[in-house]
Amino acid sequence: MVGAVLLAAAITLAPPSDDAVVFANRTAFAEECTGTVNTQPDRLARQARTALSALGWEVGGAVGPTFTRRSMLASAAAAVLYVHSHGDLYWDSKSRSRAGGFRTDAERCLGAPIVLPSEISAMRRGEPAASLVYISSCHNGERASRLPAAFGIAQRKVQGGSEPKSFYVGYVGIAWQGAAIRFERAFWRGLLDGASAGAAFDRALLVAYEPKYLAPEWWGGYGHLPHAPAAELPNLEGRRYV
Amino acid sequence: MYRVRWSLALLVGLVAACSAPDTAIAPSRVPLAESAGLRLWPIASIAALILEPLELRGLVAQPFDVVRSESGEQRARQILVGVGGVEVLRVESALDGSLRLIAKSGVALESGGLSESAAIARALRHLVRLGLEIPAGGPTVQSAAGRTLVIWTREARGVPVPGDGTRVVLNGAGALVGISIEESPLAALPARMTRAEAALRAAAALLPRGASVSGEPELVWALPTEAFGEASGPRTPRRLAWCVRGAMDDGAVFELQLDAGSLALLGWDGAP
Repeated sequence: MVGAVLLAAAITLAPPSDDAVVFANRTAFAEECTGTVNTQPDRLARQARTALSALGWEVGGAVGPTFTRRSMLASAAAAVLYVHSHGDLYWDSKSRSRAGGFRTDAERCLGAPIVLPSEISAMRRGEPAASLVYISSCHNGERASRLPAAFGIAQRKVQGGSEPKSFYVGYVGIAWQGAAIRFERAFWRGLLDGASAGAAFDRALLVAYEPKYLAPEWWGGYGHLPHAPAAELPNLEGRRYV
Repeated sequence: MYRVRWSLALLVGLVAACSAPDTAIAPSRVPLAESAGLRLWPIASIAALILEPLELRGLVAQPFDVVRSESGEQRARQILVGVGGVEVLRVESALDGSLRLIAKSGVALESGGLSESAAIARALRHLVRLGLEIPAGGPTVQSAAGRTLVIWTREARGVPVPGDGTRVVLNGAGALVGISIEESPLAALPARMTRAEAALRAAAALLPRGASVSGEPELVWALPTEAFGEASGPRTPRRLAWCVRGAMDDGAVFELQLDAGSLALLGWDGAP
């Protein structure tokens, strides 16, 4: 009964699909849990929020303890989603296999609840593919992750012809926050500069992040422009690039 | 084995250098830039070297502007646009004219993979064709999302400067996606160096219960991060630091950077 009420509440809270959401786990990286001050999750979330807002999206989500399994799943139908947290390939009892996923904040240093692809798929049933999904965590750029499929994005790269109108970014293996900050800043900057998602990704490969600390991966349409449908393109004085 | 590959790549690079057209770019006139006291490599010359003849048709150079790079450096930016205002090529130079970035747009995704030696040879060929300095030492080769990155990491006094150096990005067929050259300012060496064992002890004292350090500390030139009261930005000089790695009790890895002179905490990095 309680579960049904919570699910109904979650569906009621779900934003319309023209919205973007940004979630970041602050607690697991905070001084109480790591022994040192760490502002990186806030910086990563701020970069994402600022860029998505400039691309015309209404940005919601949560940074810190309010990033819970419930708040995340309630927003899983958003058109754009950014998550920064611990990620791994976890056991999914529904699919009886390991799949990608990420931990929520839930104000816990260790053992915070996990969000799995099957749960996101269930919340997104009937929704079109997401426009942009950026999972800033370890392991969710790997083929075994299955998170892209949960957002309706096939794990293939398409350039030219009939490209999917969606783009997924994740990291392969261990992803360090310092390198992620530099890579992501360049990616967002590329998008704000008028680049397509694929071109912005290429541009970000050229910035000074240390590749042994980060292995970015993408799937979707190279030429996809992840602007809000109602937004006007940024004024580039007649210039944009693909 | 690696040395053999590297020698092979160098040989191929030298052959490429000898066969490259005699059109290496030298700083020359960009009229507006010159009037602003800047001496830039004209983007049209660079385009002529790295684009196919058909790709050059109808390109228009936009007026140059001065921007701040991801690394915080002031740069002169030149852009070539094609039909419909689509950006084709971007070139950024430091204000002293040194080339910092060449980025082509929409480079084809080619399947197939380059061997390590072939990637190094291709990267050298692109550098030579553009008349750029061949960095010292052997590069590392990494793949990311169908692109190949050939990276010469800068070293200063024998210590790596992570993120600095020359990076050449290629597609699966070896075509150029871009080149970037980074050089951060460095602080003076500390008056007195601490030892690695002292760095390990200092790091251990900073960690929460259950976390542990592992391996030997390594010296790097580290950028102090803002959380530690430094007036830090991307152009803050990097400081010589002991890099200490370890793991939290859930297995999550971390890295601490401690000033090599004072052992003050300069930065923290973690892997989510």
